[in-house]
Amino acid sequence: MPERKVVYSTCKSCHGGCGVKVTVEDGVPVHIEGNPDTLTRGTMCSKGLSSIQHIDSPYRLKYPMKRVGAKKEGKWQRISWDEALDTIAAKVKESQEKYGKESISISQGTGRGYNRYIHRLARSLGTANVISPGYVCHSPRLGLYGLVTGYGRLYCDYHGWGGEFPKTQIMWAKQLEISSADSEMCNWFIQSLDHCKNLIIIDPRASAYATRATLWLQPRPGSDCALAMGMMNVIVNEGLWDKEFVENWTYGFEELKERINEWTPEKTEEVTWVPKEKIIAAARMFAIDTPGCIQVGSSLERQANCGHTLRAITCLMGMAGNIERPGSMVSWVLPETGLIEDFFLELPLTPEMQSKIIGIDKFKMGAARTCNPDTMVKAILDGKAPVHVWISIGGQQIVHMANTKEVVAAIEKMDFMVHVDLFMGPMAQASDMVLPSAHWLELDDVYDMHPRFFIAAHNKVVEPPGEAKSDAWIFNEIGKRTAPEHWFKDEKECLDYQVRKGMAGKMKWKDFSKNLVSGCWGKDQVYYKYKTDYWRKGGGFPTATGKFEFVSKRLAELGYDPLPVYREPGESPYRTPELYKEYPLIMSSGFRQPFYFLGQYRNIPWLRSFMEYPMAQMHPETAAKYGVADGDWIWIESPRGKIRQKCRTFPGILRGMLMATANWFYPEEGPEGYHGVFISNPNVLTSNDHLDPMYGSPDLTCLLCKVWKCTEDELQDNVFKTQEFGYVQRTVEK
Amino acid sequence: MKNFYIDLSICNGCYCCQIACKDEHVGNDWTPYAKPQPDTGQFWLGLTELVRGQVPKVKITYIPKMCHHCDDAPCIADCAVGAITKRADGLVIIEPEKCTGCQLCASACPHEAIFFNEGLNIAQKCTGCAHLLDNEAEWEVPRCVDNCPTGALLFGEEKDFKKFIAEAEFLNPSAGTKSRVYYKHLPKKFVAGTVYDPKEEEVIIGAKCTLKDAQSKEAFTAETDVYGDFWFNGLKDNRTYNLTIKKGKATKTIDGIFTDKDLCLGDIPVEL
Repeated sequence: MPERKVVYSTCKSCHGGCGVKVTVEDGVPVHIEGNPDTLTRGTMCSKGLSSIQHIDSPYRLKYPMKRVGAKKEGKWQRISWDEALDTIAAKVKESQEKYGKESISISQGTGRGYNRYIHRLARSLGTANVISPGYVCHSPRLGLYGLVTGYGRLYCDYHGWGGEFPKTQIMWAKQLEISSADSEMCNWFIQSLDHCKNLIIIDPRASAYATRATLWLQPRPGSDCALAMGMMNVIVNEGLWDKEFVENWTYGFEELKERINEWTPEKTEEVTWVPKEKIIAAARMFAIDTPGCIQVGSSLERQANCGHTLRAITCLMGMAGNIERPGSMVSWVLPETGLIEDFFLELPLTPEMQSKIIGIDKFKMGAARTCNPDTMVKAILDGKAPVHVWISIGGQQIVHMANTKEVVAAIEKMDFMVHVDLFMGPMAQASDMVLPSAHWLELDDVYDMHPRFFIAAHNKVVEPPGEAKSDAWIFNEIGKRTAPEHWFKDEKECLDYQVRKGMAGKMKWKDFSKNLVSGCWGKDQVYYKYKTDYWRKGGGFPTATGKFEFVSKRLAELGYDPLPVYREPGESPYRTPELYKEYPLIMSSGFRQPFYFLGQYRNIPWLRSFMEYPMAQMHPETAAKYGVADGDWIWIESPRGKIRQKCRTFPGILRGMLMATANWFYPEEGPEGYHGVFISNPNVLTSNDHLDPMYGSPDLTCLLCKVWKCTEDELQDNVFKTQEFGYVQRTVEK
Repeated sequence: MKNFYIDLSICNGCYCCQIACKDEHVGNDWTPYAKPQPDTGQFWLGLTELVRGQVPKVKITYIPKMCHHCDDAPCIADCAVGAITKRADGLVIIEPEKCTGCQLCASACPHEAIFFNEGLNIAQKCTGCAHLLDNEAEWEVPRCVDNCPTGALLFGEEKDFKKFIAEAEFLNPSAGTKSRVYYKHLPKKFVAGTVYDPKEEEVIIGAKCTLKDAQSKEAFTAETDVYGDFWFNGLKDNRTYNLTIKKGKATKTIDGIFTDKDLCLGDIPVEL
């Protein structure tokens, strides 16, 4: 009989958060399932359930390696950890002395566990030129919620802890049921639907929930701010706002009323393409059937008016009194272990560091703590960027940033770049050195959720392959060699430090690991904090005025409009009508699949088998207009370039638009084209010239394109070169 | 006797069932119940997406498909070596050690639920995770059911699901194989549209819509809602209908509506 044990841990296959139970036989994980005795009640998704394939993947990096050929040649030589870390430390020191501390840039993928390590390393090195994907995912909403309410983390209360569930739920550019940052929220959302009277889905394309919803609004991509303005107009004109909340707890309502006056249902319909009856109905439901909440999707943050879109949506929440009330938008009380970001916030961002942030002169919200990545790319290409050393972990900037050609050209100009990852991929191929990191099944670490009401333990289930190491170990070792005063003796001490506030200051990692979770939920949570002394004595919000701010003086001080204002996308039928003649389709790259997470998992056979090739959805009539049929390979072109995806005719999408699958590269393709990053990735088409004035976010989900069918000759092109994996057909289908 | 019960109205298409099946069966040898499932290419449980209608009247349904564990299973009848058996609990199992790889069962199955494993030269399909149900005390349902986060997929004794069965249908009733997989909310055809007044450019609320079957004269009625929309759900396939819209003195008739597919008739002008 094999020796069998069960290890309890926390999944991190997306941002993570679901409690898991892993069965290990003779040291090999053989079975993964959800742990029913956790807040996520034993639910998991296809990404997490396929984890065993992740750890066994032939793409795994197992040893530190240095590049011995040219970039894109894929020639690597194994080196020792000591050599790798000493080289990094020497390069960092050399660059700091030669070009200043700001010459070190550190990048990350989406906010996984390494978030706090990279920020701590950056701050301990005296640089704030951190490249974070936050500006196109989550940061704008946190920043704007913060401006309006004084506290940045407002989340939908799906829990019913305060005795009420949301009666009206708006899902805005989001499919929480399949793609969720913090997937644990998916389960709570689904449970909360049992108590929901009105489910309003705002999405240009149909989903299972769109077709079951009380109301489904299909806006033109990029017009969401106008939709929020139009809904507020209805609420104001029909006198439906929450009188008590607005009168006592808000600032600037009269100015806001004036601002939204022009957004009549008729005008809103014209701009957003949503029938006015539906705009009116949605506004009434949200204002009358309270409490309610709005789940915002990051597609809104991948648009160059994202700042004001989110400001408008936040004002809409406030107008309906859907703030801090049970079943509405709530900022959660932290667990006893405190705020996990304190791990890097305790090292202050000095005015010196801040002044050297690339993009801070333009994007005063988005580039206040991290740099604006698109500005950095332009600056590198112009030879004006101060950055010479790039330490990269997890993320695929080559894939997710706008204008792939320029991103690649900029990255190739780096003096020294090191990439830390689980798998070989585009960013690794652009680097001088790669370091192997451990999968979540192979490490001990602290999981922290976006809503911040609990942290959970990733417990090591199995040893990592080769010499792969945990993120905590890798960053601690780099830190020890470059800024030892801010780092720890070893990984254990580093983990102990992060949970030290628990158990009245006595908690150690091993206690936390055993408990699995430190959280604050149920009756321990506090609602209506603004009515108590929680934020300020005598009640109020932690803002300058002590109120919920419809008008933001802070924004005015920074040189922005203090009230929400609609701005057309950089390329649109109305803003660039001439361009629209040549590129007559509105394009979005917001198409997500439940089995992929951003750029991840195209190398996992079980998941890849669900969608082997990237699909571009078009209405059958739109496809027919351009001579394209379901299953055809099509060219999609914008002024920046062209890519191919496979057409999927989809009657559930607005006519006249194309929804491309985002973040696509081909892990199985060779290093010569950065793993096929130019073949199908929509960011070859997106522009980095038109950015959100507050956050610097590019229009990734609203631009213009044209399409045509690939010719027979082009289908014979040797696009795909590898024959290695059976699960992807290597020849292009006719 | 046990059955599967699938409620399509709450399935979100998350693919957890399909992955759970792979996690349980790929690379794991559960002989005598089943040999390992290959990495890809087999769908002992496979999810299909069905999109019906045209914008803005569209319905999306995800349909998990699997072996129907039929009581009158053609695969059992056609197997030349007696490798396929019906268990007392209702599950149908292909015994991998008896299977000779002749593939007669795969061609006999009207549900396309049997797959051929070339490497092992055997036919394979859903086992209902009988290896778990028989041998692991804590397991009362198969992996796909256990991993369904919405409760759309259920499994259990017939007597405990009488209400479900009363409201359910079979996926392929014409196969007549006495399936043990019950579906609720299988998609039917719909006809929908929006009625508006072209002069006022406003939708018409409360218009009486009557849809009449041209042959059987069976009639359905609906009223336009606050968005001017009417919906006729649950219609039969391949029937011809006539639609009459009435508001006040105004009447409009649309003939020859054929339900070979779901129909969004678009914005229909009615002059008041």
